[in-house]
Amino acid sequence: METIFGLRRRDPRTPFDHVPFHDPGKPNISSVPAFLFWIGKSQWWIILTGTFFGIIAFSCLALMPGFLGRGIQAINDHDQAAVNKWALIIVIIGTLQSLAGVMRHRRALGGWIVAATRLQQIITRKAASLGADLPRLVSTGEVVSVNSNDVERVARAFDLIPRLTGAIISFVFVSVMLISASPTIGWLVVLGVPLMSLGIAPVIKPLQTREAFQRKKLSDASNLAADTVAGLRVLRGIGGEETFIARFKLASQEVRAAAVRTARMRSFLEGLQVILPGALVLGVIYIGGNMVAAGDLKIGALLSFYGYSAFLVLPLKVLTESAQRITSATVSARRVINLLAIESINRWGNNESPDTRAILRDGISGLEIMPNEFLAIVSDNPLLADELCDRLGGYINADQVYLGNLPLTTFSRDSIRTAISSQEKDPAILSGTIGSIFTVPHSGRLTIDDAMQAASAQDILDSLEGEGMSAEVVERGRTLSGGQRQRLSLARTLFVDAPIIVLDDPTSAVDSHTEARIASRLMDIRNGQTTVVFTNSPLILDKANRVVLMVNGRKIDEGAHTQLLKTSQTYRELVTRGA
Amino acid sequence: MKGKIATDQYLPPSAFPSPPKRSQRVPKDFGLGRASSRLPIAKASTVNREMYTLVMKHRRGFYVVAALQLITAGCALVSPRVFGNLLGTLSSDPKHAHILQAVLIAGSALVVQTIFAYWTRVKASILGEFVLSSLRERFLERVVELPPNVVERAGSGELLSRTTTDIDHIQWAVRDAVPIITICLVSLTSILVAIGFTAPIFIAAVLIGMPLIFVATRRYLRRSPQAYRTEASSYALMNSILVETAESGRTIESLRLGDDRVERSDAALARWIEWERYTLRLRCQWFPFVEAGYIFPLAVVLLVGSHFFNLGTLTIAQITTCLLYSQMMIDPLEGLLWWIDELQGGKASLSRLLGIHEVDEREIKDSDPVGFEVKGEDIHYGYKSGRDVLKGISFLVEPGTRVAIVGPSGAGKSTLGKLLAGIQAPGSGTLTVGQSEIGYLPVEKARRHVALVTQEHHIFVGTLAENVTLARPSATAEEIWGALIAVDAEVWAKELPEGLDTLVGTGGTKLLATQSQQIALARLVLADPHTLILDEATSLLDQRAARHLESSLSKVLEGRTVIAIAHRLQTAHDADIIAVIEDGKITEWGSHQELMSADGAYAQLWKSWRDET
Repeated sequence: METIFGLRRRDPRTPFDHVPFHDPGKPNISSVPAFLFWIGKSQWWIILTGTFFGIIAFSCLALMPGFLGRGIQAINDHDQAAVNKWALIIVIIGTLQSLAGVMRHRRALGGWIVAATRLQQIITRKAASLGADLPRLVSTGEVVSVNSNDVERVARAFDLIPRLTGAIISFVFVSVMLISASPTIGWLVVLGVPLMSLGIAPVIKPLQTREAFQRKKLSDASNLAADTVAGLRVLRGIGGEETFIARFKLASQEVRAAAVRTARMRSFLEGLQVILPGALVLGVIYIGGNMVAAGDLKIGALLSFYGYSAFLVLPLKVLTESAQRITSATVSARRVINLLAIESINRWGNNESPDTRAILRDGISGLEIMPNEFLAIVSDNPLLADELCDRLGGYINADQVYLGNLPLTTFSRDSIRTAISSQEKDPAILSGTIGSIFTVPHSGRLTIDDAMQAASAQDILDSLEGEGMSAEVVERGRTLSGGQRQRLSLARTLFVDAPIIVLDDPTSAVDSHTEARIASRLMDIRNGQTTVVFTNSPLILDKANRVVLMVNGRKIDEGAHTQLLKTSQTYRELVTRGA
Repeated sequence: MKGKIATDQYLPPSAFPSPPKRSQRVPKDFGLGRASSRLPIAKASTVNREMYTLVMKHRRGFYVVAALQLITAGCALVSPRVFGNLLGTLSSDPKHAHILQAVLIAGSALVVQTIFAYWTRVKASILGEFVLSSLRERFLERVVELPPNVVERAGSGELLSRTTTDIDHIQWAVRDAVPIITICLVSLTSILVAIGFTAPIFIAAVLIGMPLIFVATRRYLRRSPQAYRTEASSYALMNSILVETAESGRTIESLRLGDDRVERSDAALARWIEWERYTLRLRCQWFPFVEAGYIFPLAVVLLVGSHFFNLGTLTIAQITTCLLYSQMMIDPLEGLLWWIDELQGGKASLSRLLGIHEVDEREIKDSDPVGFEVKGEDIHYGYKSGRDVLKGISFLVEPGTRVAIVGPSGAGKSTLGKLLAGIQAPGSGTLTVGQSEIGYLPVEKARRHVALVTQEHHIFVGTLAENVTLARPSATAEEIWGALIAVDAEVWAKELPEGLDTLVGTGGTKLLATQSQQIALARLVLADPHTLILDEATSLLDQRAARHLESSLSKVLEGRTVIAIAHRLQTAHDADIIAVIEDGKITEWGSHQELMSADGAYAQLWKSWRDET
């Protein structure tokens, strides 16, 4: 950091320097008001100081017409000292207003950022702790929409507070001032302004309807464009571009028509916003002018009234906006609470040391897995195989799966995940670098390279942009082929090196050459630890210690691969499939 | 105090870097260029030129808006003038003030102003929407014309983000910014002119705040567009991390990555907050100066007014009018600054959209293929220089032959497939179809001869029929059913609620992955090229179904050349010729029988697969 005149130049402090939190805390989700209050309480200082500056900024703004009026009056009275005084006051108040405005903005922004950060952190922690249960209990779309839209709406309510309080107080302040200066004009303005906003109200609803319609048309068109682009390779490969362009143009023109309709309504609203305050101001001029003519009012005061009546439109706008925002914040808060109230499915115990050398038994199918065996399972029904894989890992019906004689649910969830690693059919590749795929808790027995070798996955590094382990993998591994994703996942599971691993069809998308290589290395890398593979591939079945044949979720036969080929017709059909 | 949350190690390499510190010089590019390096971005000069062309093309519309606004602004000037004069008369000769008359004049002006304000806004919107819709349509037209190699290289993610996010960003800029800036400029000018007519001395007084606004705004605008874009992207990153956490719950729990996810998400939050802090700093160095720029002129008008009033050269009417005028300037000035800011953001998106137009055209050597023979001579190809994936491949495929390519992953099978389909031209060597170099033919011509179907499938939003008839929109229902029968899809297709007219794709009836693969092949049947490249086109079907499909397909494709990259050995078994590719070279070439008797790698694999050892 450089120093200038002995002072350190550094980034100024902001009201949100303390976020993200190390611990965002545990929210009160008993009711919406309690929840909002909990958030507010935890950031009361920002709200309080923000409100303070909000009141100052609005009050300065409200005072301005008065000073201008005094200034004109002083000019009219040929009082140069007074003119100078009011000019100076205008500059001071103007400066104060802009400084207080900045301070208010910093705190308002801080209010929303702190609230949004806290909520995002709480939701992320909730999602992470729900783990495998989350996709079963709530759709991804729901989680995302809560996280992006609802969190923002709830947090925005906290950005509003300083402005809202400032607006209310300045409105009251100016109203009192006006009424005490001239009851007629005062009441005209104080009642006229809210009436005016009632006049605008009937337009708001149809405008919102049209806007919603326009948004829908727009999202239709942009979905169509996105769809076309997503399938662009197909289009460029086979043809049909003209059809899609024609469809998009049609959708785009519909958007245009809807947008113009909205614009007409919005222009109408803007027209009202010109004529209604204008009419009010004219009313003030008429009444005020007559009062001046009668000698009841000074011209400076009339100018001030003119200014005040124009000013009062502003707090009113803030009030209308606040009403809408607070309504949507409460609706959103409800949705956030619903998400946070979700509980996980399984109840886990607190035994921390499962015995990985005991027999693993599935109570539902009766299947028993011996310690240290390499077991292959051939199933006629892939869906039942997936379920069995989930059960053996303790993801569903964990109370009916036994390790030794104890149900899995007697153990803590973490200890079971450490002991048994059950890899589903299509495991996720999380975005990051290749290296970050392997930053997982692991036994330490194997290097990443060992695991990549065993899964025959080294060639993937060459196909990605970037060098070696720092090559980037995008979300869902979209840039990888199905086979590449499968081999990376396998390498990852092997690298974790759990005492018991269960693999669900780990080579379905891999070509036969590679599959043969993987099959020959799998046994070695496991080094005698319990390994269960669901597969129909003869290349892998041939290497297993024991093969179990399951039909309709029940074990009907078992033995070595070569032996089952000879003895079981069903097995032969499932494995060689009519070649 | 607890330690700061570590950011970098938890964020993906493509995440944006931290904002510059106060003590650092602000870089020209905050790292946006890097994130989108796969497709070109238009230069600033190109964007300016395009914007100028755009405005000139629609200049009549702009003239109309400007003319209407001139009337609107003119009417808006009446009220302060009338009020100022009234105040003047009231101060000197209250008995002869025509209050009602003044109010009526101002009221009529107000009515006219309102009508014209409405009219201006409507015209401006119509203009904006027209420009916007032609811009987005032109963009998409260009996108679907992109050379296939560019599409391959860019990846759908980058194109998608330009099609959705960037088009979204320019909505505001094009639809509102340009017309509103026009409106504000007209208003400002007319107010200045009006001040000039009332009392020219005040022009100088009013403009006194301008240098301050100008300097602060220029500084702000230099930094803000990129900063806001980066801020938005950081926010989006945070969301995408959560999406992943929610979608991949099973994997995350299985690998005990819960804490890691929390840390990643906190890191993304921290990065977003850093950018929020940076943009806040930008605003804090801008707002106060601009507001001071509005306020100071008011005081100056008073002081100057007082001076000349005492000299007797100015009246209360003039001073009041000008005071009101200088207050009136705040709105259009604020609008101008705000929309210039938006326009800057829009420009960043526009440069990404226009970048599409700067994609290198692929080299074209047009010729007309004669015959159906596919021939490769010493083909080399690599994605990175010095690392060839294909290392000298030569072959000759007679018309009507069915070839199966087998080999380990990474040997170059799919790369060869892309070259065969003409998506890319070989780095060296030649690949000809009917004696024309397929990689240099125009796309529309090449695909009449060769078509590629990969394991990647896409169902478009639309009816089943629309999805099948891509290549031949004129196909009859009979022909469509013929194609569906050829790919074994008739059974499930007949069961769909509305048959061929059933809506499929996102939002419609969901098709299974296997069904999507069948559709991809049905499209090919209707496209009817003489040479087909199938890259694991049946990989999602189970063995038995795949084999059945392949045999029924081959009946329809009688006489066509089919080159299939095979994932399963059965496909290879049924082919006329099997090519084994290992490490970028063809190591074995011949029929199943020939390769079995040669007893090479293929024979070994086949035996272990069939357990004939």
